[in-house]
Amino acid sequence: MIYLELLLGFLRVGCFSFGGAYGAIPLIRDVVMGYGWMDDEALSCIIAISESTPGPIMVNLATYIGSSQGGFLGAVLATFAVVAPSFFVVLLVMAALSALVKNECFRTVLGGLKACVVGVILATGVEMLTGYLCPAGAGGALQMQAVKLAVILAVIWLPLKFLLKGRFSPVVLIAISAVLGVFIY
Amino acid sequence: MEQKGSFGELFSTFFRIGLCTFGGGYAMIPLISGICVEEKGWITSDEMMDVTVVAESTPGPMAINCATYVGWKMGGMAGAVAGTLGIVTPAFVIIYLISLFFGDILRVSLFFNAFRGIQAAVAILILDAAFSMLWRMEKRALSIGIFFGSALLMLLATLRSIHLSTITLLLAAAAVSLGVYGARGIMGDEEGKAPNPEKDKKKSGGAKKSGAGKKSGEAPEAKGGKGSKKEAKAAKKDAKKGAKAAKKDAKAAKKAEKAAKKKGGKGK
Repeated sequence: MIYLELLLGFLRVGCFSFGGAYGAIPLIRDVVMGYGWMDDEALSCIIAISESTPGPIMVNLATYIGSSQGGFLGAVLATFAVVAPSFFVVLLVMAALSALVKNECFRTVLGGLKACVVGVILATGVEMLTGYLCPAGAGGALQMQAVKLAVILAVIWLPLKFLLKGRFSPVVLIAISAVLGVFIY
Repeated sequence: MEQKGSFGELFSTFFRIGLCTFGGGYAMIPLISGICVEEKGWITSDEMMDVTVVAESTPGPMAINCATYVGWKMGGMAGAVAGTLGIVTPAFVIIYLISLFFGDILRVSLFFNAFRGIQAAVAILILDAAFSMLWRMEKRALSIGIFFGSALLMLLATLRSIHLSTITLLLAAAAVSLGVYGARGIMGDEEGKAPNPEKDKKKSGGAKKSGAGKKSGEAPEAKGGKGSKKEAKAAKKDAKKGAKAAKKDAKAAKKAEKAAKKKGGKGK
């Protein structure tokens, strides 16, 4: 039943999303692909929307996926499921175990988890880029238009990133890529 | 300066924050800090730092963890619920509305091509996030090892079409970290230095003093951050006998470390 799947799937995401917004993306990807709800292409669209709208990316993703898979109730369940675990963990940590956060063993494990997250995010990025460059729809062959677009985008992005250092919103890149997409395809 | 916030007030404040939180985690800290510390005077900047530490150490989006934390502080359970609901609601409403119309938008081929392009942008953004996090990550052998291990394992699994879930990798990383932590405990200090209780306590005492001189103290501490952390580690091991002093030193060293991290984060 879809509601149960949404609930459990996003509960998993909520429990294991260390490493912030981007840390949740691989988890959400696992859930979405595991249940066969959508492919990388569609997921990318949704990620793009989630980055362009206010609110934590994780929440946006949960709401959208919940809504598209299970209507309003789906959206509510998914959003609740993604938020609830961290809600309770934060309260737990604060109420009883604030010493926990400073505990050496805990910090070592946390450091390890975060390192893992970085590795996973990198791998996810590589997979999504490869999936974009060699789309399954074209039989897995390298699509030259895709390469062109990606290269142009990267050439625009890198210098801007170093110049603006952090005040560069992802929305701008997404907008540029949308325009490029229209022209190149 | 109010001490306790009402349900409505917490909700509406975090609703406002929720409307403005674009992008992920670290970008939101200045915003939340600006409102909770400066505007509303609900928490001090020291507490804000604690909030950040807790929010970073718990699963879930940073912004929500912050809202839960501050909400709890200001109004107990009801406050926590108010803050969390407040920060989540704007996003929920906006996205839900978008989701209702989005499928139709995609059917227009112009938009379809646009979104094809966006797919590239998203991949690049994710890679970019990975590199930023890598840059900010503490460069210890364990972390670097786990980083490479996770990335390689995941890519290999995909190449062989094996389904390797992220959660499995996370659990493995936790197990490895625990193992290393245990091994270190048996073998003594990380660098192979024999822990010298008096020397280390003096050094950590120094860390505490410069930690007390907040902003001016934090700059030199930023460089000594890593060093004093190791010393704080060794000091903590001796803390079984003298718990309080060692804990204070560790706290100051961690604060300095957090300040260093925060500076690194702002420079992103």
